[in-house]
Amino acid sequence: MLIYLQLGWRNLWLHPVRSALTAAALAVGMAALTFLSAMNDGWMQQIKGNFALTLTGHLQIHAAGFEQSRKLAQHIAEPDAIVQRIDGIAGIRQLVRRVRVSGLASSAGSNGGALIYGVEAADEREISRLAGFVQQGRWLLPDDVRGVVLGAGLADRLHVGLGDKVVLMASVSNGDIASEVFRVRGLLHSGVMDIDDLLAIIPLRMAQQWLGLGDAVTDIVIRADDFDTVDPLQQRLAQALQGQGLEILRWNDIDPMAQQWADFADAYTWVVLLIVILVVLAEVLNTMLMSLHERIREFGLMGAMGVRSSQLFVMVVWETMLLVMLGSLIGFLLGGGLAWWYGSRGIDLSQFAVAFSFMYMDPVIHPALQAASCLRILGAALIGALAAGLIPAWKAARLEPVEALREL
Amino acid sequence: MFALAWRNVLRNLRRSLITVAAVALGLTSLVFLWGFNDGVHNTMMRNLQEVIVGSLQIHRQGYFRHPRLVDTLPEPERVTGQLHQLGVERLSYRLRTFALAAGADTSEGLVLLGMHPAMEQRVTRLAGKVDQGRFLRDNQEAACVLGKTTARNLGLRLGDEVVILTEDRFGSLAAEKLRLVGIISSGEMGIDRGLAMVPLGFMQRMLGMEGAVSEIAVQLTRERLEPVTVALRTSLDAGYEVLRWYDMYPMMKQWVELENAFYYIFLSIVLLIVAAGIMNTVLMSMLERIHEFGVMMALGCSRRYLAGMVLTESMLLGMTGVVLGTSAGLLLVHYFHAAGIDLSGQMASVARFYVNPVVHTEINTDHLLHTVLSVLLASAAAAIWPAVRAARLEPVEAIHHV
Amino acid sequence: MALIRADGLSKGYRSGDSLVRALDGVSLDVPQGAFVVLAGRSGSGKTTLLNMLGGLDRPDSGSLVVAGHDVLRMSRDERAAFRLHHLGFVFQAYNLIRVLTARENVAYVLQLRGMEKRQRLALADRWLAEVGLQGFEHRRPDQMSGGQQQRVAVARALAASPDLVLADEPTANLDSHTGANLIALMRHLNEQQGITFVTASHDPSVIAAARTLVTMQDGKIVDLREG
Repeated sequence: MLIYLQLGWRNLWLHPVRSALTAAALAVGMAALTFLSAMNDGWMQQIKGNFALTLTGHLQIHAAGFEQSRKLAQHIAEPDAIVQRIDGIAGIRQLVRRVRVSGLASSAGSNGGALIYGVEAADEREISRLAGFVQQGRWLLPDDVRGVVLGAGLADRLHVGLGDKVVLMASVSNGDIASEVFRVRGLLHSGVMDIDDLLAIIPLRMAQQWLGLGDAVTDIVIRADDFDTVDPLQQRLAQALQGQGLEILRWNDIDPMAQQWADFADAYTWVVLLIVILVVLAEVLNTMLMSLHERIREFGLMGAMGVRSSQLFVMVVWETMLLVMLGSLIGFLLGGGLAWWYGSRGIDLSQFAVAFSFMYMDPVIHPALQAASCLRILGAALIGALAAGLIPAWKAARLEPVEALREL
Repeated sequence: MFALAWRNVLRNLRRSLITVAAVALGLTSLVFLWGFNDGVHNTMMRNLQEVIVGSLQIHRQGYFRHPRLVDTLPEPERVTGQLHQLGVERLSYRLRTFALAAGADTSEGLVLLGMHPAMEQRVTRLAGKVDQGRFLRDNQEAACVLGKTTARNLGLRLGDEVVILTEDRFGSLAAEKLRLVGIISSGEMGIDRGLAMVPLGFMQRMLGMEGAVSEIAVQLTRERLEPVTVALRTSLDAGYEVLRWYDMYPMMKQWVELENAFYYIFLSIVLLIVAAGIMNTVLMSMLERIHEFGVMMALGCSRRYLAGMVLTESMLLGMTGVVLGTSAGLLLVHYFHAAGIDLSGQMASVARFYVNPVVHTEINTDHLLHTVLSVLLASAAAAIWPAVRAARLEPVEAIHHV
Repeated sequence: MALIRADGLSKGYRSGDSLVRALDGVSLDVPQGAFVVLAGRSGSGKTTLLNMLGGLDRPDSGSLVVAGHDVLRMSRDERAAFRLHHLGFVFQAYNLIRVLTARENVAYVLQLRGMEKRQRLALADRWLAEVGLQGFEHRRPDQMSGGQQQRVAVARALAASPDLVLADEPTANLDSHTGANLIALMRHLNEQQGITFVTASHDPSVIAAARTLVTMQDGKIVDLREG
């Protein structure tokens, strides 16, 4: 085998410019693919992370059917019993109780639709990033009774600031409308429209009293160790809570957007990968065919010397692989290096900030190459190299020495 | 020179074909991806405008950022008159506030939108999105149309009563019972959920605001949008705000720009690769013919002529690739424009971005033009070095070159 | 027993409208240790016969046994293996692999035969010395003269100790002095080591060196003379 590597290598040097051009084209393609993949990976991590950690959590437990209906009547009547039951299940990093209801917020002269969350002020800090988004005023304190933290957009629409009164209205369990007065303690700005324009966060106890829920909650929100452990954790929870009339939903069940977006971006990356590889390989094929054409006599000579056609085939495949691997490696290192460089610094795309925040993304992207992406790119390059090598190799193997020797 | 260059291209037909194929393949995929891209984007932007937002909205100054019921549009007739003068007929009066809608045992906060049934149907496609029942008909009827998610959340069926609770102009509570006459299923989350549409006249009466509107929504073609905006902004005084769809929802425009920016990066990568391919071929073919070039120079061909010939060869390769690639790409775009690419299985949630899960490809002329021109430029650029090398040949050495 | 036993070899091919008989019933026995020169004008069938003896070309009819092997019954790969183990080739020009040095060119065949590295390099050097190319081991073909390249080709053909060396116009691209030297070398190896040569040539110095001179014309053997 070594002789073919050696032959291949030296043959590449027969036309250094041609080989360099081909390798450079490969390198450009590979570098671009690597970098784009790294950016995509970084993004997806961010979207998933932000999405789950901003509000949703990794997993949520509701009364069966609540996510569909959003009716307060479908609640978890005895959350403590549930929490006890799942206490000690591995993989739960934190859990928190919430009451979630859709309602109307109004101030003097203005009103707006609101998503009202009753939360446990202290524990909530450990599970979601909501508290961290408070930019004016403060997060709820455990002893707050009638305090509310509003999304900045909602507050803006209601024309209210810190210390102002806001009336929240929602229909309670029996279908009546209940309203309650709250005082604005904090304004949060997350950049996510759904949150900033809709959220009104009040203490859990207050929500339970006001809505006549007693000890009941609508959500038990769980933070897992990381995204990879979500699926097994869901199964363990489902086992532990069987027959309780509950639904256990993953973050991507609750809102498939982030997941589908990731899938879409993934598919798009595949298409780009495919096209770049195809174009690059057409070029490799061209180079190899040129090289083959120049050396037809040499192939005839080797055939006359007793080299089997299968050996000629392997030789040409090796030569192609060598060229492709060389270019790929340079490109991969280049792209990987770029990704690494920008991974720590971040790429600032603030001019598209609004679009990003809608997708739960920060406008500063930190590329982070995942092993799977590396494998995918290198695999595609290798398979492509094989494919591009097959045609010239097949041609070389089919040469009749007598005819090949006639060529000059 | 052209004929000679053409023959040289044909001389090593196989090599030229592979090069042309690489160019064509790259271009086909670029054009097709543009088609997909533009198809998604244009649909998204069109949907946003046509389904509910309109191309343009006119409010009282500051209303969009701080919508208050009392901040109604001053003298709507005057604005309408101006619009008519500009030849704009597709406009709709709306009154907007927030309300709580209550069904049997639950309630939901939502946007209460009063719209004039006849006018609205000239501007948006909301009526066409009604899935069950009908759209609003009579301007005064106590009827309402809800999105399907809201209707489901409230446990409401067609013909049920909905209680709408809101504050009137003076801040006191106003409640009305309305009949649910239609359920809309648009796929867009801002409509299917959190929106109640009622007749404008009815809402004005309910709130004690006869004749008042909060916004005029206008539908315009893409070409008319900017001129009409400029005309309105100059003719209306500072008491009004004239907002284009992307002034109100910059997210979508930014998203489109972001994706286009990425796309141009992708384009330049493919270009680089294609250019390297052309350069390879032209250089090889030039190196093969050094002897021939020497003979031509001995016969009196100028250096410029040789360089021009090499350049022409490269352009021929590029152009053939461009013609083939563009045709194939446009054919694909054309085919999928009619047939559509059904992604509903993969991406049910795209609807919230106003994207149809069935993508109909289309391509913006400027995108097509940029792509084709850059490939042609690339094939010219690829020839520079080989052309310079050809021009620098010394006749005697070249003739002795085997 | 003869090393080569060819009987009634015929081969025709189409050239435009007419059928050209490249070989027309050629029969030839070559004993072990012979030095055969196939003479004749170009187009007389020398090269075709030579290629056929090497299993590179197939006759339309006839039979051929080389070194005890029925060459015509062999598959492509069997013929390749046969050439590798029994034959050496020297062609008119461009005999060498461009990217390999003189030593590597010679050693390559040995490597194909599975010889271990140190052994094959030593053997290659020995054969290069044998053909008078000591000190040229590390030159590439483009750094050597035409005569030197042909000598390397001879060294390569002989290094694997073949039963038979086939040479097709080995001197055609050389000046007369260099050509004479090359043929003297081949003759020397034939006499010293008993290697069988079949050479196609119309170079008078080659013809003069022949121990068996076979003259061909229009695909037939018209004269066979032992020298």
